[in-house]
Amino acid sequence: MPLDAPLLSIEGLRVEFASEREPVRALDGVDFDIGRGEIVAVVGESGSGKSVTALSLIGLLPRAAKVTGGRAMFEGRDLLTMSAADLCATRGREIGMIFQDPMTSLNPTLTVGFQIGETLREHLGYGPAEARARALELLKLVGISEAESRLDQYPHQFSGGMRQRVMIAIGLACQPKLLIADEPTTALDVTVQAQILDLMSGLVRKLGASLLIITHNLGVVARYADRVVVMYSGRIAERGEASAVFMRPRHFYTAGLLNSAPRLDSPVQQRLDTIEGQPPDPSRRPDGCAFAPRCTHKIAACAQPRALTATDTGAQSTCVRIDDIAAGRIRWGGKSGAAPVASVVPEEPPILRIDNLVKHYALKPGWRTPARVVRAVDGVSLSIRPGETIGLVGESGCGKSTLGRMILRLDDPTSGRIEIGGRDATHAKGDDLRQLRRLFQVVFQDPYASLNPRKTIREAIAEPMRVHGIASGGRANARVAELLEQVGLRPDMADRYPHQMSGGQRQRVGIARALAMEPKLIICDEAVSALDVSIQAQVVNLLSDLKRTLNLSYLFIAHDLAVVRHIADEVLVMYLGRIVERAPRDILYARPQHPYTRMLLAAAPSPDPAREKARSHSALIGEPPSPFAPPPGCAFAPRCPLATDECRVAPPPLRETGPGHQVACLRIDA
Amino acid sequence: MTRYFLSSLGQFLITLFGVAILIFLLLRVAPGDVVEVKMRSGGAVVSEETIARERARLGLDRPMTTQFVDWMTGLARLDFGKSMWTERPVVEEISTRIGITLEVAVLALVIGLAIAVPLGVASALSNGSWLDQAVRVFSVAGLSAPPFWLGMLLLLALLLYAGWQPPITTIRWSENPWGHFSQLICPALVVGWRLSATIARMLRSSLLDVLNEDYVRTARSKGLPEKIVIVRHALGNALLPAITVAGLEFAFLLGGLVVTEQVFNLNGVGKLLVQAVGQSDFTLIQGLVLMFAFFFMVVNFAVDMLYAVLDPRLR
Amino acid sequence: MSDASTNLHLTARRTFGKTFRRFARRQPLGAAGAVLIVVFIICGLFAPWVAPYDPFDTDFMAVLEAPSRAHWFGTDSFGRDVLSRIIHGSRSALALGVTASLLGAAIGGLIGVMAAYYGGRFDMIVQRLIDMILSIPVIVLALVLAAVLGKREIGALDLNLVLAIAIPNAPRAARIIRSAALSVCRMPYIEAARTAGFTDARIILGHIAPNLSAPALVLVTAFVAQAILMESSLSFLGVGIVEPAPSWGLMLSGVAVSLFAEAPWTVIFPGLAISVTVFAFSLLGDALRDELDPKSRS
Repeated sequence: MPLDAPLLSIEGLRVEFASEREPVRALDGVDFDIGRGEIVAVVGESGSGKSVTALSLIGLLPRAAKVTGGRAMFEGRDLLTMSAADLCATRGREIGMIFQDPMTSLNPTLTVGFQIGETLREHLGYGPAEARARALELLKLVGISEAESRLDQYPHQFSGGMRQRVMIAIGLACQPKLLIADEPTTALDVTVQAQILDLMSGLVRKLGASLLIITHNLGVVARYADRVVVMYSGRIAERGEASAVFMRPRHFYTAGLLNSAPRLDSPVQQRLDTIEGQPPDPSRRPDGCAFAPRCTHKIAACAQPRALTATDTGAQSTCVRIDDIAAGRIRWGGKSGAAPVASVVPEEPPILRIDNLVKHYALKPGWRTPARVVRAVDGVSLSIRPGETIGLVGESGCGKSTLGRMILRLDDPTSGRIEIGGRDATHAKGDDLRQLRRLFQVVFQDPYASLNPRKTIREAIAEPMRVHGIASGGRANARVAELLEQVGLRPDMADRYPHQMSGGQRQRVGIARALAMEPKLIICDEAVSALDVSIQAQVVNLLSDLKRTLNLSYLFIAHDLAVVRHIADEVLVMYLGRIVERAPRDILYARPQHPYTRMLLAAAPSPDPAREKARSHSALIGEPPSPFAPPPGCAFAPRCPLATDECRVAPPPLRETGPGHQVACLRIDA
Repeated sequence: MTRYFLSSLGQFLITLFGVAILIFLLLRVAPGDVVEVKMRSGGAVVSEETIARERARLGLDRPMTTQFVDWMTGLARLDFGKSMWTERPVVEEISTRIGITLEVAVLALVIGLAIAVPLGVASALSNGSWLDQAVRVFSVAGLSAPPFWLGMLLLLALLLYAGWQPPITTIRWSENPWGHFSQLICPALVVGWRLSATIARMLRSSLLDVLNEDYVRTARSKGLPEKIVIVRHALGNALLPAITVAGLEFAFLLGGLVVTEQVFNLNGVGKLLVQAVGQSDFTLIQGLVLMFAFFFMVVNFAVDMLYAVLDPRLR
Repeated sequence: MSDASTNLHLTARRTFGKTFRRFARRQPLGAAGAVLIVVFIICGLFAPWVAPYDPFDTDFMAVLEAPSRAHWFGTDSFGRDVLSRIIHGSRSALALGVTASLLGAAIGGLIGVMAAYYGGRFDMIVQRLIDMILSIPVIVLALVLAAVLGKREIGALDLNLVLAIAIPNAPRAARIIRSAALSVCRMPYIEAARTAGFTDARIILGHIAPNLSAPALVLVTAFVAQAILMESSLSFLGVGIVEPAPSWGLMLSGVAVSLFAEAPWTVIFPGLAISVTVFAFSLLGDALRDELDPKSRS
């Protein structure tokens, strides 16, 4: 075998899922290579088949799925037709694997040391002592401190990021030739994500292994991948050098995807570019280009299937119109961005005011744990004026959702005050509360869980109107139709049930339901986080449009700084129950002051290979501390490059450092 | 740790106290009492006066609250009172009979586990196959047949095909170990089958759940042979919930033996309860119900502790 | 959860025949159970026409006759036809089983939903009460209840016997429904209903309860099996249905025990009737659980 031959060569891979009716083709002919020492990223939205590709390579497809065609030649052997014994000898030994959710991917009843050593004992015949010694080395290698004592701990004693480090140790234990990472950081916070990816790609380079990253995150691809494979609906849309594909996309899907991703580095504009519509149902995928139904430049020839064809950038694309794109005759233009409009917020009394809001949870004692108090929200004040959008940003566990739930009066605050529309809502009950509720509504994160599966769309939207006497009967029906149109759905969808709609459509229904009450304020709790990039852009635009036409206020709770940047007027950054920085949007993104805000911005990857590869991540360290045992003083001090002893005494208060700019940091000069 | 233990103990006592109140009140709404049953059964003609005297002697004529306070103060001194029928201490009545019931229960648990574990595992691993269906039918059948009927069939079969009849009187272990054992084995088999059904079903479903867990996929991705994946990674975790169910079922076993003891003519606490109910022997019923509840709670507590030892997440 | 309810919902929109055929293909054992149950119900409903003899007709010339062409299942110690008594017995078994389990599930279910929705102190008290009742073995509590309550017949149904069987099962239902309701209560759509300012009654009855129909159906089916078994046990112990009413459990008690070596048919057939009925309900319950509630197979 020649040395320059690819390590893994996938040709015509087809996978089918058994279903009630005819089998569904999840992968419809996938071809790509992974060279030795190369990092290849497979990128796509949910349902594109990217994870199925990875799992089929190591024979771990779910039961219902079956490989129905193709080859995957790894070192001269076909992974797809290998005997079970050969596959076992290959998995873990020559191909390592890292999965998405570190919280569930480690066995809870075995020690971490054992789980790392197990691979070595199985494949390399190590004895228990040898395996333990090597496991210790590996733990150190993946950057776990006090490795010696952690070896005998169980997974639940590790944080999410630490567990993913353990997974990397397991994946690399036998020095495999290929490491496959399936959405390795999707479940992690952004500051941790960057550390894990840096570690993983660094180790792979050091060991001379190849890396296959499966991801939906374009920024991750830009930063780490040598080559990229863009998948859409079970097929490859485009593949090639990452820089070529990202800078000069030669498939309209690639172009659309890149344009609709919210970015931190693009000029601020109110609207994002979008790809209208949604991916096809895999059982009704067109023979020709699967993207054609959503493409703004489709022509008759798009109905014919087309093989991957070389483009002028050295990449390969299945787009029929490669030449037109290359020549610059046509460009991707979704619903293009309107001129940036800064929200003009009139000086009116705030619609929502919260004052020093606190939520402490008392946890009961367990077997070996004493009773504890979790300070989920620890003194937060903010106000929102009519027509204003406040972005509330923070990593998981920072208390941002608890804050939202208290404002919604789903949780009772421990202390503090909530004022809605000028009235005290902190302890409102019964009819009082019911009347107040007309003023504020909510859009939740999970589009699948936020609609009652037993009610039609019409019932979901009309019921609040009936209950509050806003409209009933024919009037309500007319209003439902109107609202559906307003959120970009067809009125005839009113009689569908939620399961008959896609995630993006359901999220629109959720918005229509909130609007039915004619509220002044909508609390969006991670309202677009669960959506694919192209759908996310549609919903963000919808929210912006509604805000303008209806003069709505939003409290936009999110973990994604780039999304918030596209919708918020003012941004609040939260860390472990407290606001650490607040500033008008443009100021915050241009001149962040709190070290945590800076860390967040530094960690967020953007889909620009040149820029990403030049960026240093050295400032990113640590993980958010456990809310059970927050550090004394500034909660961020343990991770802060600027921290001094003074910081560890008492939590610093918010101080004004500029017009509308407040920072809770002792080390920042006013 | 101590705090957790104390709060568990507190809950334990509150529950037991609640059961005591519950059963006391329940029995006091019953029409008739032990005196009626004792003196008027068989249509004997007894004067009201005699009955009233007998009631007074047993303290049944006092106000309900007095009776309750008396009983509770007795309980606090671990005095469960006297049987209203035999007038022997309740503790004595129970303690002479609890042994045989416990022996059957433990034997049944052993039999149940011996059947359940292989069946549950086999059925989960062959999910959907004929073997799985067969195990399912076997388990459901075990839960469907009335235990007393199964007992009768078993006795009938032994009589017809082996000409063997279990001894009618109680044989002590010290007198004749084999005879003693032969007395236990039939009821234990009947109850054990029932028990195995519940445990096997639980084990099957928890193993199926665990096989879908991400960490089992991780184990496979390490290239471990399927046998190790199942035994080390899947079964280890699947047994935890099965232990809870086995414990719960064991705790219920004493109750389950009420009917079975009747068929096999075993002189255990189950039979004693049926007797006591037939005789409206209030103090004895109260004592027995408290004992059942106490046993249940103790087993439950033990299972919790075992769980905490086995599951590192609870350590 | 969403999968399960989606399934149920889909099936509700198809025709019954289609739904059943699909169910039978996926759950052959459960479908067999359902067919058996229908047969038993028909037998019970049309007992006077189906049964060859009057179940109360004693014939002292034909006492303890072995199964024959005239008496398929033989006769008992009063010369009554065993088959006819079994057919008539299915009436009381099914009526009692279904009412007791519906009652137990309804009481327990309502308490369970309220405990899950209101939480806090109310939930705590309910939990403690459930703990208390559950710590007494079902058969023990049912035995004491049946003895204490005595008989109160409404029509042919002994209401107190129904209560004696329903009450010990109610806390079980409460616990199961409570845990199912807890997961529904945490769903964002319930929180959205709360933020829409709906009343508690509307949320519990209109939004939470419909999403519990799957676990409730599974629960009731399993309870019917338990209740029939319980009735036979109580009748066997002499605190359930009493002579001369035709009851399966009763047919196995009293003289039958002492005579079963001589006349095994008086024991085998009634016991078989109980077993097969309970078996049918259990199979159906199991299958429903697998279909509707794949997450909670325990």
